[in-house]
Amino acid sequence: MAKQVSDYLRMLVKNYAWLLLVSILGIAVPAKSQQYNFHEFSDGLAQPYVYSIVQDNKGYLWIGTGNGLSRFDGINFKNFTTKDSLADNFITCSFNDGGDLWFGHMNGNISHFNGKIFNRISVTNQKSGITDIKKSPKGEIWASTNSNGLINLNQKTNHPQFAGETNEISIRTFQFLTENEILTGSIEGVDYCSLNKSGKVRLIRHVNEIPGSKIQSIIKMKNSSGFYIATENEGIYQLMPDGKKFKILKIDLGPIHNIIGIQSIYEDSKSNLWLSTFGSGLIKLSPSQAGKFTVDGSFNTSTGFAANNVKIAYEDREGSIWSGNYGSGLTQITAKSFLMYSFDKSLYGTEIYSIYIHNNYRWLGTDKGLLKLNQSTGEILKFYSAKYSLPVDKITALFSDQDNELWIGTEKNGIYRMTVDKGKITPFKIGNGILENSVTAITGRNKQIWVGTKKGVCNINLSTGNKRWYTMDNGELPHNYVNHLFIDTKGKLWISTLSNILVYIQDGKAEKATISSESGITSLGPISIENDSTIWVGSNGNGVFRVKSGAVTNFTSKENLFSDYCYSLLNDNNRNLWVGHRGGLSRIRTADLFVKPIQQSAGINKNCEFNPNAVFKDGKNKIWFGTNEGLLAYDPASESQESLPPVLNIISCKVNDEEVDFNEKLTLTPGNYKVRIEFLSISLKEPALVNYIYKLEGYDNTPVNTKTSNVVFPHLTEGEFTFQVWAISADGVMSKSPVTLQIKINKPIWKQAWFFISIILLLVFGAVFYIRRRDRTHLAEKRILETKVQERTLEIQTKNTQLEEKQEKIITQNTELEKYRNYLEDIVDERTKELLIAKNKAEESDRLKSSFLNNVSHEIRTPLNIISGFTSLLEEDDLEEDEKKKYIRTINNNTDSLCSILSEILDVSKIEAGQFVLYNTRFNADDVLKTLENQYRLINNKKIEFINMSPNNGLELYHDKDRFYQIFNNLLSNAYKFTETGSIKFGYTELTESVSFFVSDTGIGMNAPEMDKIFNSFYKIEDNPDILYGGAGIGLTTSKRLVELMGGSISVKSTVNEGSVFYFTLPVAIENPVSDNPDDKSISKKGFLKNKTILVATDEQETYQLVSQTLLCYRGKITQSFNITDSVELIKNDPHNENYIVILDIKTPNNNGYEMYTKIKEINDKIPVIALNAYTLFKEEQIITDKKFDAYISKPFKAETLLNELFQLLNKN
Amino acid sequence: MLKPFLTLFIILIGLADVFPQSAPSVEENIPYLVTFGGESKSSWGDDDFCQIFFFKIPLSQTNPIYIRIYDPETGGELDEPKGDFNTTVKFSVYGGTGCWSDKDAQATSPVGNYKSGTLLASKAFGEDPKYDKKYYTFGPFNPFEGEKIDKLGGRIFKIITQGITGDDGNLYRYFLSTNPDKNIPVEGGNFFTYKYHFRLSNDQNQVCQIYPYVDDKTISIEISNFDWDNDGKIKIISVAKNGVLCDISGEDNWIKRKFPIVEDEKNTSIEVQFEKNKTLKVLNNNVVVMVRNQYGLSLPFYVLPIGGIPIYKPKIQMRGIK
Repeated sequence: MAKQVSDYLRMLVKNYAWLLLVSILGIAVPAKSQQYNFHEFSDGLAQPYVYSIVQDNKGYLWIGTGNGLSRFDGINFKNFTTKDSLADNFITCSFNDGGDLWFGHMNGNISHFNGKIFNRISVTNQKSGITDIKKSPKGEIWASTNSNGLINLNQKTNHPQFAGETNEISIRTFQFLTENEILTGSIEGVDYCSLNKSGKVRLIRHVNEIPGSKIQSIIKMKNSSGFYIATENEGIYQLMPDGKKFKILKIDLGPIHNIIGIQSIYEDSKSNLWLSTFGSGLIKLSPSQAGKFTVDGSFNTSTGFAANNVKIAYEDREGSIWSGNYGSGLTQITAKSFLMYSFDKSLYGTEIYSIYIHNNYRWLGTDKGLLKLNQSTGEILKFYSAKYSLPVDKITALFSDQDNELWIGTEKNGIYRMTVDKGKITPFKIGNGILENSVTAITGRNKQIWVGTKKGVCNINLSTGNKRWYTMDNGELPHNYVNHLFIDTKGKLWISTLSNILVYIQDGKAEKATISSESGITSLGPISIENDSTIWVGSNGNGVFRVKSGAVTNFTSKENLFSDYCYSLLNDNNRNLWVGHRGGLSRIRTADLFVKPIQQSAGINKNCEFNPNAVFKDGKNKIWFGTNEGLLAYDPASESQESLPPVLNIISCKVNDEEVDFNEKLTLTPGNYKVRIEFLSISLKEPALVNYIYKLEGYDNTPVNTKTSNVVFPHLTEGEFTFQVWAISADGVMSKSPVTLQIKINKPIWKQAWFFISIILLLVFGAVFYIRRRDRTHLAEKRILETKVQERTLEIQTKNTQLEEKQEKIITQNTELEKYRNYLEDIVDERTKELLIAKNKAEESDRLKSSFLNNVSHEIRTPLNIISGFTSLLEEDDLEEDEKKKYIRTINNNTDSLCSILSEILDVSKIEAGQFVLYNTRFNADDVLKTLENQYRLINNKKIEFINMSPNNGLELYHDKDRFYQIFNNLLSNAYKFTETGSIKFGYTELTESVSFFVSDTGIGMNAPEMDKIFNSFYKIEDNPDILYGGAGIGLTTSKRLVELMGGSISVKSTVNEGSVFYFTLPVAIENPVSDNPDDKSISKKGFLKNKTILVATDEQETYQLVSQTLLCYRGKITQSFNITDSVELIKNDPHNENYIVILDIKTPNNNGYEMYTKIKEINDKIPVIALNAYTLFKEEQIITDKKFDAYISKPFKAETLLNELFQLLNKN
Repeated sequence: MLKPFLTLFIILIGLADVFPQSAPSVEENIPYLVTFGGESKSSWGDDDFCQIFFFKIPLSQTNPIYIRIYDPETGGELDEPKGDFNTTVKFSVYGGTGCWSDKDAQATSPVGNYKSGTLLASKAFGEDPKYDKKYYTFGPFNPFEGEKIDKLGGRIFKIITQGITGDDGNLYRYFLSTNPDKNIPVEGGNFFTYKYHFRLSNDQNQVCQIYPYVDDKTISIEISNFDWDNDGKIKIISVAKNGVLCDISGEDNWIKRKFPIVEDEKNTSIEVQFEKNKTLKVLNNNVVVMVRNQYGLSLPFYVLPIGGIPIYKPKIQMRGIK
């Protein structure tokens, strides 16, 4: 086992001696921090095993892994797999043919990416992995396989053909020498082959100069026609074609000549070679002499690299080297323009507070002392601390004068001087106070040394040894706290203090210059002045100020300054101003004032603090920064001088949130669109510092500066727009030309010129057409209308005529109607009057009726009382005969009076019913008048004189004598009634065909209205309420009716209180030869009831007695029956019932007279039946008439009436 | 002063090899694999001068793996010289599509496309003291470079050891590791082969065994052995077979014997046990063994037996058939 260990160690020493050497050297020099960007699986890489790296023309880095293809834009990874049409997830190699990308796979297939999509290229029967892809000089793409030779990838088909003669050729890598000659590398070395016209590979010869080792890669040299050939374990070779021969040279790798496990070789743009190895990581070889290379960098875990197993290296267009690690992802190695030197903290202190480089010595003031290094090698030569008379204090300022004496400023202990040659350090006293010994800056020129302290500026004249202080006390400084001192090319000393005022001292005089700022400056810091006198001064919180020709320009974080707090300032020889901050740097390019913040890209830790005034530029323009983490060196020579503009592409265009193809001009239909354009500038070096400028011509021509890689135009309407975008790299390099996207949104059809013109033409045409059509239509309509008008005119004329006629008719009708109306109105008026009259009459009748009832009641009751009273008196026994007679006479008179009243009433009733019958006889009117004269003189108990003024010439009248008597009597009665004194004259005047009778009195008289009513029934003049005038009020009415019935007329003339005169005229009537004289009748009445049976059907015994007594003398048989049954039975049983005359009391008790009448008529309708009725109302009489009674007699009746009825009945029959 | 350090170092190195993932495995108790140079005689114990082994890497393995070969060179102390050492043996590691799935890859003879897949690494060894009793490490290998075989539950790599020139026997061992310098087993990893070329121990008391795996399609197996030289017995042990004797081959010849497979034996490993003759000492005996099923398809020998070492269950009695 011990032997094994020793062998192992021996092997280590043999194989890794160069590593050990580097490690040993590292002890003597400051450890380098290299600048890497690691991208792991956790960052989105498809797999940590990287097999290929290639950058496309858009700037994307494509990383082939064992489990998918990753595309890197500098910030994000996007992975592609077989789901994205990749031919296999295992990518073994990749190739950019100048436009398209090719990816070889482990399964033998190939993916072709045309910039948009992947095309799978399945090689028939090919299961051998693709090992390499190259393009021939003719531009054909060829792929080598692990065991099947070469494949010619015909880009026009997805079914490439094998070019090899056998499928057992294993080619790991190849290169074209010419179109027909190739070099192939296999596990057994390099072969020189021909590629004949048929595409078959034939071995020309094996390249024996190169060992039969596994050939990992053959690459073309960038600057010559040769090739670099990397074997796995036998080093690398240069192959230079020389006709048909090759000049082969093994590259001297110096300490790593025994390196094994080489995976690939890559030549970068600076002709450096990068060896990817398994076990030793990535090795950078820089060309030194012809054919020789020196190790310029070793990237493995021992040097802080991610991996020891690196499969491939690749340089992107910006000069960054990408290491494809095997199992450790992807690492970006940027140019090491920044290097951080850290020191053993315990020995030297890490914080660098002051730097001064002079005479190939690099002096570093730390928190523990003073470090002296060899400027060329970086070797630490000596460390000065308390052991060398230095105080235990921070070395805050360093300056070497022309006598090679180093001035050392401390934070608390003032100034020390060191004779560099002897290394002797001695204190140099400039003051006693703490602040005076608190040194912030030292500078000098010639024999003048200037020391900035917290108590002001101390000037030391080395020639005289004099010291002079510039402080606030003498008004030469605005503040005693001095931040920085700077002597410009003109010898002015510039002083910044804890104020906003810069002070410069020239020729011992201090002048002040105020730096004004809108936000107010509290403290000015580091100063740097260019050769053209442009002053740069940093501030504590206000960024950097540039004072040029009196103009002050302020640079702050708004202008991309890393921070507004500035601690160190320095102008380099490349016209850059470097500003130190906490956490990073700013670089202001003074030519164009482009500001670049620097942190991550320079590998600066965010906790790195740049100490005040700790910055120095050496003779090689290398800048050294003192930080809390060590010494940061910037070497401009290491930085790519040619900064490329970033590659810019539009990567997405969405219209209304839908992705559209933007590779061609975007033409949209009219509308309102939301357009979102996403663009990306890929800067793999410093992706986060890319800026964009865009504008949309046609929409807003103002360029917009942004860091955002997309823009949304929310409302784009019709028009043509050109979207232009530029990218600006972190170094301020802008795209030479913008990336553009043409967008055309068509105008709506109604906004296009042709549409307007068309519309106008259409309107014009339409208008013309319309006008013409309208004219034609109008013409036709006019004609039609004219015809119609004519027709209508005729019709109208006809109608007019008709209307006129109708109008005339209407007028006529109206006139008639007017007439009718008037007529009707007249009628109405008349009827109204009549109705009024009728109403009045009715009212009068009602009143008269009431009056009549009162009158009749009085007129009837009065005699009845008298009759009743005197009848009672007659029953007394002690009455004398005279008294009895008197009483009887009184009774008879009143009975007559009563009968008279009743008769008058009945007469009126008959007259009203038109049933009154006059019995005209010839009589002597004078006799009647005399009779009346006598009667009234007898009854006259007033002071009235009755004067009969009749001519007494024997006036014969042929009228009803009784009625004449009744008329005259009525008139006299009235005259007597209303006359108290004076006379009552009566008489007559014979006229030609009539006789005018008159009765005049001197009574109360009447007014005109009373005269109009005097003949109305039941009207009584009752002008004096104290006087009761007798009578029922029907006398004049009866008289008037009777006069009129008799063919005459009656009138009155009266004057109130003078008296009245009543006239009535009667025609002189002609005697009828067939006289109805009652006397004649009486003759024939004798015995006219012989053989007749008078059946009196009544239950009133008095009635029966009256009838029987009346008819007794006329030889008739008189029988009484009390009810219907008896009467009917009697008649029915009598065979000679035709001789019966039935006087039927209509109101026979227990019987109805009408029923009895019917039954008698049923037995024998020839039997006369006379109705006897006490009711003399018209209704009752009408019923009797309707029943066709043979005669009718109303109660009370006189014997004469009964006889006359019977007589007339028998004579009629 | 260095002694304690060296002691500790040796102990650590030793511990690394206590439970190595090797072929042959500890369970098999086989000292070495053997491959003779291409100019050798088959009677020396190698019928085709080619040893093909597969190693299975579980899908969960994402870190790099290494194939380490102990004593790969051909002229060392462990190797079998036939006169002066003149042999070159080439070790080649394959992965990728077809590495295992190609039918020629699973064949027992190195004919056809048995080198299927993608050649990942290759190295030829002759007499090289640098690797005498030393390791040579292939790798690192991305596990994804193996051929993914779902049926086998992992990614498969193949290593072919082929005698190129010479007539000496190369004795060596494979190790699977996650470390290029130490044998750190790959968790879940395993080796298998379809034709086992190995050296028997010279110690007569040592019993070697190998473990073919019987799948559920198998109803009978045919065990072939080559150049046993009548050096003892070959027994078959399974859950149903308790030391059934197998016919043994003599010098430079093959002999076969069929055995029925019962239901309980399906999906289990069978132990083929090699018990040396205790009376007649035979040194440097190299044997080739293979097992085929009723279809003539080879059954794999897993160095770590699938399902564990078979243990006989007495209730089952089987009898061998000729």
